[in-house]
Amino acid sequence: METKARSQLIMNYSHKTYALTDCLRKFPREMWDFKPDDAHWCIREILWHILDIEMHAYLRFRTGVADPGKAVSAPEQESWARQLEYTRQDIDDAIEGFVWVIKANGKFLKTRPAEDFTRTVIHPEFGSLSLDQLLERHNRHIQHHMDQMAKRFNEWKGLKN
Amino acid sequence: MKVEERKLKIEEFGGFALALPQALKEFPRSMWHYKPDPDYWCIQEVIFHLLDTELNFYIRYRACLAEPGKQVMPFDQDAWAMKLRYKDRDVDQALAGLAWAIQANHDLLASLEEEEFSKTITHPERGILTLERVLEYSIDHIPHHIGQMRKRFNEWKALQNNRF
Repeated sequence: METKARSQLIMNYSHKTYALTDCLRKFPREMWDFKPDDAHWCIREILWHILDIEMHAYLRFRTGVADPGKAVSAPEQESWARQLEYTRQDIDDAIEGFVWVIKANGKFLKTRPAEDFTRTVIHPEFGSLSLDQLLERHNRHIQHHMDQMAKRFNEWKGLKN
Repeated sequence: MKVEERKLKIEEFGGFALALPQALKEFPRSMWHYKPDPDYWCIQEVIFHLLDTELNFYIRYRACLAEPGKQVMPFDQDAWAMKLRYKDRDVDQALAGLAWAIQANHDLLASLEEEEFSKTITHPERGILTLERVLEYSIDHIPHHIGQMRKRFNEWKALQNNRF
């Protein structure tokens, strides 16, 4: 990846803290537990999922730099949501946590030299991933779930109307 | 471990979210980079080590509960300290994250039922560990490193006293 494109990507990733909190302001808290059926996640569950994935990102980025070529873990997301009872967890704790971890990851990546971004980790599902690829994936992941939250809000609004 | 003993230990652990910044007040920031020898960690490196370990525990506790038996990934603490340049990073951001992680781990552990402490993870070097064993290790970890930071401070202070 070109240095300029990478810097832009790191900036986009770091700005996800603002994008997420701005996006949440559009959805009234009264609907954060709404889900159209049990097979779908509500906003509260999505927020805890984002937090737990970004905590994994924290360890993945650092493993890539300090211990390249090593295996990293990936959570079984449905099991984490169910067994850790995301529906009962405090939303403000999740928000505080992901704001911190995304900022910490963004700041960490910003200080790394270009050669670090070609270092790899072994993901149990996707195989060898460079730091550049991890950064792209985590960026897309957050965006995907922001879209999912907007969808949940529209479903709730549709029901109200 | 008896239920009451475990409860006390979990509360003691949660108390580190406040006890750690309190302990750090004893050590002037001007010496947080001091180390008697390159082989030793300075206080700032110890703080980052505590943060990274606590975030590893964050994943391990939750993996144990959600995916019992799962293999977790150890990390090479000396390689992390050196290659991630603990000495050059933002220590205030680390302290904020550490307080958050201790609280989050405490809240999770305090909410668990008795039988959940016998769930296990597999550590590649230490074998099968129950959640209770992971908890015991994590509870001892922070006071051990507070002791290490105090030692570093005393070494620095002794040097100051020997200067004319």
